[in-house]
Amino acid sequence: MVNLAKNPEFVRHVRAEMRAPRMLLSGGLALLICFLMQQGHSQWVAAVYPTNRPDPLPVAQTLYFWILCVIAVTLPLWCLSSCLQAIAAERQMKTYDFVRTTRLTALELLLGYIFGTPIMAYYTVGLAAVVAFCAGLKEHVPVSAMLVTYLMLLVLAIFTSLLGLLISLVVEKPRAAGLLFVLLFFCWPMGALAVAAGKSPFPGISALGVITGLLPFYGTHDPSLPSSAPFFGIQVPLILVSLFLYVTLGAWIVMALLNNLKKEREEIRLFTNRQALAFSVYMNVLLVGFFDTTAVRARFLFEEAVGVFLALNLMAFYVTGLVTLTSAERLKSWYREYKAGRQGYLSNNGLPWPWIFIAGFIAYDGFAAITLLASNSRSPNIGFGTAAFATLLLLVFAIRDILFLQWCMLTRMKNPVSKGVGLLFLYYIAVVLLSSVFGRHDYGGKVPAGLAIFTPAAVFNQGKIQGDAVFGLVLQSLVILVLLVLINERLASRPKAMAAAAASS
Amino acid sequence: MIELQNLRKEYPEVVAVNDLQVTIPQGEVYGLIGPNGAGKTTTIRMACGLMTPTAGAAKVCGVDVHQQPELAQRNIGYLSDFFSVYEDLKVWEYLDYFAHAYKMPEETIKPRIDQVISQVGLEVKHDAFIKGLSRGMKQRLGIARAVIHKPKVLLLDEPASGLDPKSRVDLRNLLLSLRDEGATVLISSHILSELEGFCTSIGVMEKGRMIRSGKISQILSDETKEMQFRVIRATWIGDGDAKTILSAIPGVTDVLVKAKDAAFRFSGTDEALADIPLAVASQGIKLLSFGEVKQTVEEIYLKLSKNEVM
Repeated sequence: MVNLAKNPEFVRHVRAEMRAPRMLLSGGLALLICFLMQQGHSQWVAAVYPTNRPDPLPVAQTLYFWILCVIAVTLPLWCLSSCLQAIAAERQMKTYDFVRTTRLTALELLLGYIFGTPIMAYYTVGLAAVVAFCAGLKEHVPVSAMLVTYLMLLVLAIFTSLLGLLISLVVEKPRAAGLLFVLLFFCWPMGALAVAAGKSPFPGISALGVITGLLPFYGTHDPSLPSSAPFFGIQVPLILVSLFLYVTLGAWIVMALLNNLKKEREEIRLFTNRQALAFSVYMNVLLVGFFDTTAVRARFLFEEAVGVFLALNLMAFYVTGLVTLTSAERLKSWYREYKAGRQGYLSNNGLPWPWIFIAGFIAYDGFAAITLLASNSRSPNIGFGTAAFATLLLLVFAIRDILFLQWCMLTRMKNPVSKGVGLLFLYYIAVVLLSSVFGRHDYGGKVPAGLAIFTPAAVFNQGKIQGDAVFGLVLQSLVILVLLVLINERLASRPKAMAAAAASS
Repeated sequence: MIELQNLRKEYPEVVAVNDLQVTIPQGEVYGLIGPNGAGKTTTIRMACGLMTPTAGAAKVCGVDVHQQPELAQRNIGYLSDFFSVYEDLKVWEYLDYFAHAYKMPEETIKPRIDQVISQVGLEVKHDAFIKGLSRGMKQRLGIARAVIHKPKVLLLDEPASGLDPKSRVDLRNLLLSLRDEGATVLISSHILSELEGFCTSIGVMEKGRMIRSGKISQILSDETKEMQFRVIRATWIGDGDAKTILSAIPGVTDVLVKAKDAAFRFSGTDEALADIPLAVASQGIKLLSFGEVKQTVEEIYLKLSKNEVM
């Protein structure tokens, strides 16, 4: 149902939030803040330009820009915080079950929540946006620039709402996770700017920052920042890349929400296994598309590009692994079917490792693609064999960690995935600390042995295979075997009532 | 109307519902009883599509609730034990939301809202904010929500929990009227006396398994194949003699004589049963009363449940 006015979930939020007294109060407050900003701005301009005020003012000195800054921070954060509570609060109140038993489809629920929950944010910020627009017109800010900025702001607001809703759906106490994302919210434009300024071999990634792409619309072009990025060799304006990235990443979140909005929390699984692999393909296509061969030729060693590529693929392995984790109930059910010969390893309810392995093949294909692209610019000194070893090493660590989490899920642990992730985090911290305390300090350009054996750090060693890493690969493969045996034991054990029933019969 | 076919729910260490097989025909009021952890709530949650079964299927009006959830929900009304309502809505807005969410035809919504509001006795609160309602009123509003779309099947999980006595009577009357309108009801409750006289069938669950299911009358007669009667005597001879006299009657067992009462079990035809007062009287015993001691659902449950803690 695209007609929001007829979407019951949206109407419910509008009715609850947009009562006349509340609208008057928040609308009045928004306009008052704009008025105070206008007063402050005119005094500031008078102080800066006592005699020769330029007309038009530089964009960064306009009232439009001032209000825009407030809007740009307020709207996404407000959307994020209200959506963070949307489902978690309903679960706590025990009203969500009733919503789930209605005939509303997941899409109707999604649209209702995304646009309904932050309705007060849209209303209040919308008023301020109108004031900013009027101020911008008066200050001769290009209309196209303002419209594009508002469009991107809306896209960002929807994206953060989707993110908030997803966290609210998945996490039991979403406030802590929300805080993390608030931090990310402030870090990612800066990170993206850093990528842009550093002329990464994958410059399209900097489009996540949005700001760089908007600068040309305001006529301010910083030569150190790119205004376009290559996508399969074609230079595309950065703002279009931003739009593409947020729309496609948002589409993945929408898919995860549609898969799970009407499910019990314990039954949530963001993607099916095939969708998780599709995500892996998506990431690799993006990376290959964004790969800037000219940058490799001019400024970078090919190995550096490979390092970024492998690091991002390691993330893809973990994403694939995490979403292919199977609940104990479904895994046991699969195990019985598997033992009876009715299901194989590539079942949606089976163990996650075959799927991570396939993600490894996809990553290797991506690697082959960028190697071929780079071969036109310079002869890469990382061979396909070395790349295969690096991919395998990453795979082994990813599979080990994910199987550990899968084993945690078969124990009686409460919140097994969160606790398992915490334990893995402690493990990696401990390895780094112990390596730095007890290891040698002169490695001759090598990764310290402890790190090479117990972490996948050796992969990022300028494309060289070191003996410790081979030993690490063998050792971690043995750990995987042990984990598989432990998981198998858990799967073979029978639940209490079943065992009792079998005994009584 | 409700079919639970080999319904099963497993957790890592326990099987919560173990291959449940129940069919509840239209118009039946089926009471699900059992101790805590027996699997009642899990069964109801699977039956209304909130929880996916590990195996088996739940069908309502012939529609699989997990294969075609949106279609199945048209016929299902669900109410759980403790719940909240949207405090920042008005009473009519709350019901309007659910009427639209159940995709009722637009023109039927307003009259139906008025109808259910009056059914649950909240007419004067039609335009009131929910946050101003008492707990009992909110519970009644919850019931109104569950029936707003005229479901053919009602799934009620401990609906009377936390209700005051008056609200309980109101709930009971409302459910009786729905039953009379032909609704099929699956209700779980700890308060067994509440189910008596209201349910037409019961199912006793224990450790995820259905240990007995059927019409109440059938279960009563099954459980009392040896029926229990009481003789209140006006004149009596020695206890030993009474026991001897009663035990000599074919079909009579477990005779217990106490003060002026005698109780025993009987298995046999109705004709043989009718002969007992005559046989007793022929021995010179004058009877004040002779009748069947009816067993309650609670007694049957206790017998079946092997004295599990409720």
